Amino acid sequence: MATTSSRAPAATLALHVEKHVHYITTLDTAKDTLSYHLSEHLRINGVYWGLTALHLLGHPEALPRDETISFVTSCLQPCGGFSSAPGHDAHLLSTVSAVQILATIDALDTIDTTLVAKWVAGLQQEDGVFAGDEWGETDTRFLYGALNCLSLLGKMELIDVEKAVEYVLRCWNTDGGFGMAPGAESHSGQIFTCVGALTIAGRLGEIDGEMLGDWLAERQLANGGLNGRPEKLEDVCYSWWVLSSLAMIGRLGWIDKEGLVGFILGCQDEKKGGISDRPNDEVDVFHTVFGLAGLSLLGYEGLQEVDPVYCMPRSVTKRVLGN
Amino acid sequence: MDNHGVSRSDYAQSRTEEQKEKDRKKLEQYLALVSETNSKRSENDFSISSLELTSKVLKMNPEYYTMWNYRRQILLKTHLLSFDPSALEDLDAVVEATAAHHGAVIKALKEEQEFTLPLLLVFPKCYWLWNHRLWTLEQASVILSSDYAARFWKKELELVGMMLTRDARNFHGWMYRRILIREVEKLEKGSRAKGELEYTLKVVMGVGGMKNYSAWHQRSVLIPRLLNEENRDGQQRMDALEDELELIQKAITTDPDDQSLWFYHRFLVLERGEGAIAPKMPRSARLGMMEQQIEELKELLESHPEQRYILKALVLYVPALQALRKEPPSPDDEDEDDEEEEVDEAEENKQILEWLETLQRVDPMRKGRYIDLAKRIREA
Ligand SMILES: [Zn+2]
Repeated sequence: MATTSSRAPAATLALHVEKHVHYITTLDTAKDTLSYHLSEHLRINGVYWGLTALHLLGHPEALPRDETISFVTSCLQPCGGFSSAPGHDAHLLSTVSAVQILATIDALDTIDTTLVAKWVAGLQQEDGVFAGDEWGETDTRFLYGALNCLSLLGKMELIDVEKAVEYVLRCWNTDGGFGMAPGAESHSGQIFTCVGALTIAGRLGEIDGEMLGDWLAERQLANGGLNGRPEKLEDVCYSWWVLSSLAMIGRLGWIDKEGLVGFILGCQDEKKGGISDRPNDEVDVFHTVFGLAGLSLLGYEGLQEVDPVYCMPRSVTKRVLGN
Repeated sequence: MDNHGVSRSDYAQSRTEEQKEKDRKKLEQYLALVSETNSKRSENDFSISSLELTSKVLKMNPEYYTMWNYRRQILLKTHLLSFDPSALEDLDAVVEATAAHHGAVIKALKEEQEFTLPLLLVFPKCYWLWNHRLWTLEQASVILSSDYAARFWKKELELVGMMLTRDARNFHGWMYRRILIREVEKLEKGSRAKGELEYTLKVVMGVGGMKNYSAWHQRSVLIPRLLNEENRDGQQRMDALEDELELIQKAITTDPDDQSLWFYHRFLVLERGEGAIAPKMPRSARLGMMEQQIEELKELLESHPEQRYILKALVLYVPALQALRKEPPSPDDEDEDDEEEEVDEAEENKQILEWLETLQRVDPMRKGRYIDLAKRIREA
């Protein structure tokens, strides 16, 4: 089933920095298209993906700072949560993106961080997990998101970290991976959120990196790309979640780095810029940032260093977190 | 924003003038609809006509989570409004009104499920859709008596069964199934673990089912749970483990290239914690089980000398066996008086290192992993 397009030799492929910068900075010019409007529920996430990609590419100024701040603050709802765009409802996923954006451009002082943090903290449930909003859907994605933005806001004391950690450990499977809820199948995206949450909480020592690392390393397929679960297709976004998890548990060396570099570079659209999920698919900003983050983590020359826990520039997390 | 699996050339070809014109018309219609719905919401209009507006928007864009929120707000203020008959004097009127309310709620919830079903078939990976269906079911539990609520939840099991037939690995589907079962168990006050275990067996025995990691995972969770629920003793647990080993051995012999099988095999052979099938297996029995598994793998290796999953299993199982030999005997172990064979561990380690050499050659991508393992064997 796997698309075994032969492995692209990494050495012959180059990273098209200028093309990617152009692609990201012109995304907003498609405002008259249907797909632009159909994806409004992801607008603020899109800004985070684009902004982070530009920072990693070494072009942090390519998005005007003032405009970014005014867009983000226009999404702040009276409850303290951010919506994906003005007129939408507050959701944890948009709130995480908002905080990440403001942290990246050093503008957290433009919002009432206590108000935001209190809203996020209020989403924690009795069993330690977090809901995405007032409607109560729970998922380890939300738990990670809450820890991500509360740590950036310096307000971890507002939540019960111990309970959150206990919940994550209940999602730990016998195969070494993590699922979206206790008993759920291991999945690379959920592994990233759970390992990320444990890292932020300083409790990574509770898990066995050996089994997990083995499961993660098995995600790499013959063409260098990584999949999200056994017997699935490779994908640039899953490559990032697997790779960052391997980095967090100190086992980056367990996969073929050169093979993955070749796979990601092979997913670029060399004409218009941007990166897709697999070679020759249509690009999007989501896969563009995760492709670049992956290359950065693999030490690809010319890219800014990425923080595997936050998927933000390392220089930013150092400044904000102080370590 | 999300172009998973959209081919670049198909995408370029779809950007014809004709298609762009179609999109423009659709966009106009969409924006008008969204703006009308949002202005209703800003006027705090929670009427049935606004509910219909949200239906139109969501049919065009089921990812619009705010519209689902608005829809739920309307439902809670209309069809699902709680009913208080205490103001009614006449008992017959109370009976009549209560029955009418009950019927109306059932009808509304049913209609809600009918509205989302066709969308789910087109967008099976849309989180908000699964989420909204779940919310609807939760309302059934909140408002209706438990036997009526149970009917809604059980009916949903049919749907998820159908969704999993269409895509046997949809993890939303598997997750949803777990939630449904948990609620049905609560409403019926009884376990469904046995039926679910039979379901996973049906899935793995079906066409292409052996590759289904989701189903194997589910077995690894359900079997220990079922044994606990049925208060099974040590011998019965060992029997259950043996049955599973037999099942997986057959599958592995047929298709040793299938990764899903090997993770399950490793769970059966190595897991000893709370989540194991026979966690308190006496040491001597465990030694016997592991030795037998290792022997069978060595045999399989003879016909597939470079098969990496066989080699990988061996380089993990043999060190685990060595560690087990050094453990003190279990207190309830009957066979401990038997003379244990002298084992030449140095010889075993030499063989593990040879396997690791082969692995580095046949699976160079994960070379780093094998080098780390070899280092540990040498240092031991
Ligand atoms: Zn992807």
